[in-house]
Amino acid sequence: MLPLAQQHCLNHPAREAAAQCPQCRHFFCRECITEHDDRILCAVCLRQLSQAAGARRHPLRALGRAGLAVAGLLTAVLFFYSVGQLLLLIPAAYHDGTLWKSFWSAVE
Amino acid sequence: MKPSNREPGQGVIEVVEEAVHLLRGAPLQLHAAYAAGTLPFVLAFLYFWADMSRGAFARQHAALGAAGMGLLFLWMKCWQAVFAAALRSRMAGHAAARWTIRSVARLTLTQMALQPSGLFAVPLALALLLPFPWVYSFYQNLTAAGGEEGDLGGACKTAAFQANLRPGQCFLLLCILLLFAFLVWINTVVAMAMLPSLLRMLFGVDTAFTQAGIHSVLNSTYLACSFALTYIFVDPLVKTVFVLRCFYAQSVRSGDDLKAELVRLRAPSLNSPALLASRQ
Repeated sequence: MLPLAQQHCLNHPAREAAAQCPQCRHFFCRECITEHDDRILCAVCLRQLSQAAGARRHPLRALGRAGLAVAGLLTAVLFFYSVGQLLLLIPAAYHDGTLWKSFWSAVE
Repeated sequence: MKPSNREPGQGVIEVVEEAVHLLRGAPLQLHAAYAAGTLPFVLAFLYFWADMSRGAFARQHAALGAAGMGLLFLWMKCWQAVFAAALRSRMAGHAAARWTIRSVARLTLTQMALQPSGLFAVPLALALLLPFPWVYSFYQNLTAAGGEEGDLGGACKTAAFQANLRPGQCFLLLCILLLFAFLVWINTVVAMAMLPSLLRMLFGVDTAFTQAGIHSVLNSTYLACSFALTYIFVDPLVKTVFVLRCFYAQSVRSGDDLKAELVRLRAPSLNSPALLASRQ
């Protein structure tokens, strides 16, 4: 294959190529390529990518997302329930400070 | 001469300074948005703590209390994301985007789905120590990005990308913020201990705290109160720091920092005396 410097744009044969699309491997001039998601792509490949992304938006996706949100809420509830149980396990003498009172009285 | 790879406004101290400046210059509505989410959660958490540690029937309503805490946690995270979005708009130099039902629903679902796992992941990462900066940064970035991404995978990808960006800066920022939080906590503990004595000394008001003496500070609720107050004081700064980190990370691709700089440069010229005189 000829190097980039000797290539011409697929859409504009009179113009020198500026880049090669990594998706379709064709060469394009500066006008026919664009940057998307840190990659240089040609307009056709970009359109295909965006159409594919749009097609992925299935109605069940919203339902799945709502399900994940409910799972998140349950995770948060589980965490705080565990914290509550942990606090219940700790002796009351520690919570109300009487554990330290005897020690402090001895120091005084 | 060796070229410097440091970009302006991205040093550790510069980021903290800029965060303080941004926070101080923020309008009251922005602080109100933060408080609307955080204060109910913190107050409820203190009640939950006191109830679980001393309540006679705590075991019976632990599940109900935990459900309330879970809801308030998500309420807080949503408002913190709103706070972060407003800060980002201020950084970018344009008016905050109008909240629609769709954008609110997207933000709420994103925060609800992703943030609760942090309740387990962050303490676990802290116990393991080494992954803590990445894990903590990831969850802060989820708030800072504020559900900008349409899908959950995109939000996770963005947060993970920004957590991996400049890990040295992230680590140093966390060290500085941790030191700051510790100093704030010491000050809070001292202020909480001295306030009842000052009230008695200056106004003659005798409270249960002055009557109990040193024993009033030895209970676990006192400790929880001091941590809660420290969180209220320090967390807005932490959020702002991570908003700045995300803003600069996104600016590499979007050029938002340059656009904001241009807006700032253009603003005084529009109101210059010569222009004002020509309008009259």
